[in-house]
Amino acid sequence: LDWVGQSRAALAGARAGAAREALRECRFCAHDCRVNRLGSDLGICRAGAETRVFSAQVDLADELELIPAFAVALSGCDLRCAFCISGGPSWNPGLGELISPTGLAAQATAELARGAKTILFEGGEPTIHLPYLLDVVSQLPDSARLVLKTNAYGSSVSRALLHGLFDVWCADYKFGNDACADRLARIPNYTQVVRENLVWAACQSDLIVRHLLMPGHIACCWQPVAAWLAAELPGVKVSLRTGFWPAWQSRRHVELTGPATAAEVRRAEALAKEFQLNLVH
Amino acid sequence: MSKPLSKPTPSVTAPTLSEVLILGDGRVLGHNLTPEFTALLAALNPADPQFLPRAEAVAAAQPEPSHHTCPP
Repeated sequence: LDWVGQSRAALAGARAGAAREALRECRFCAHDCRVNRLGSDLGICRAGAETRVFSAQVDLADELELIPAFAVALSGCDLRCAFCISGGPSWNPGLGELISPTGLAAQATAELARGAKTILFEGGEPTIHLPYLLDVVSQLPDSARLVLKTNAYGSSVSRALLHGLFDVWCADYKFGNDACADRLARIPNYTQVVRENLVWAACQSDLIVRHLLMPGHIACCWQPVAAWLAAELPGVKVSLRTGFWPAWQSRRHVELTGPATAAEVRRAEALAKEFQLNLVH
Repeated sequence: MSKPLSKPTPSVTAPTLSEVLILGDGRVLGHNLTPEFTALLAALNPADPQFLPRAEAVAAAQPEPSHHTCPP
């Protein structure tokens, strides 16, 4: 309960040091690599102690309640989704620019004054860069509406460092079973981890659960995701993203070489209705 | 067409590409929806439920104009 009575900025600042120290044995995500990122060791995400930014701009692709968002994309990710829309910098934390937390916070604050509704951190995966992320947050006004867009594969270590800092968690629930998660993104134990994170996020912030509809994956992925959300997080905001874009290494998987068909989109939307999901757009 | 945010700050990174994918069945997908690109897509196809609300969100987010009168 270190957050009781503290401003968000002060809390983030206090935790940033702990997050940097935690890089000595990185356990920020469920891969639990335990490598020393302050040295020369690299884990699955390949990120060291340095954080790079590959995009920082006003963006309108997110949910209507979040936009215009000043979206900050941090390079590097702990997943290896074949269909990643930003595959290059998401898979390579060495791409992008080095920007000081102070400089980034100043730009974000200026964009709020110009009309941005939220400041949104994404990637890649922002939780692999917790020291930098917390440092930036510590320099943002407490009144800013902050959004963490995450793959929800973080660990309890990450959750403890993030608790109470973000107004909205926009979290992916990408795969409806562990076999698809392993085959398409090389993620072990996906279902258990993502569910644990979603339940936790729902208890401590506003939560939007995102599912990117993948062609050929309605029965194996969307349907089980929808069923679980209806049963375990009734009423949670669900963002069904139907604009699958066959990017990056999608062609390695025969079913992912094109977009979802119009019929698949209709079927997915009908399922959402059947499960009485609270869809947001 | 909706107005972009006033005085947009240049990206801190090199300019990125926005992309559009027009499917044979008439659906339009957009990637990297900057205010300018979204306004363009909304103008091209106002009936598309994806783009017009997003373009309008930018217009709605314009800061209130100042009512202070500058001293002479």
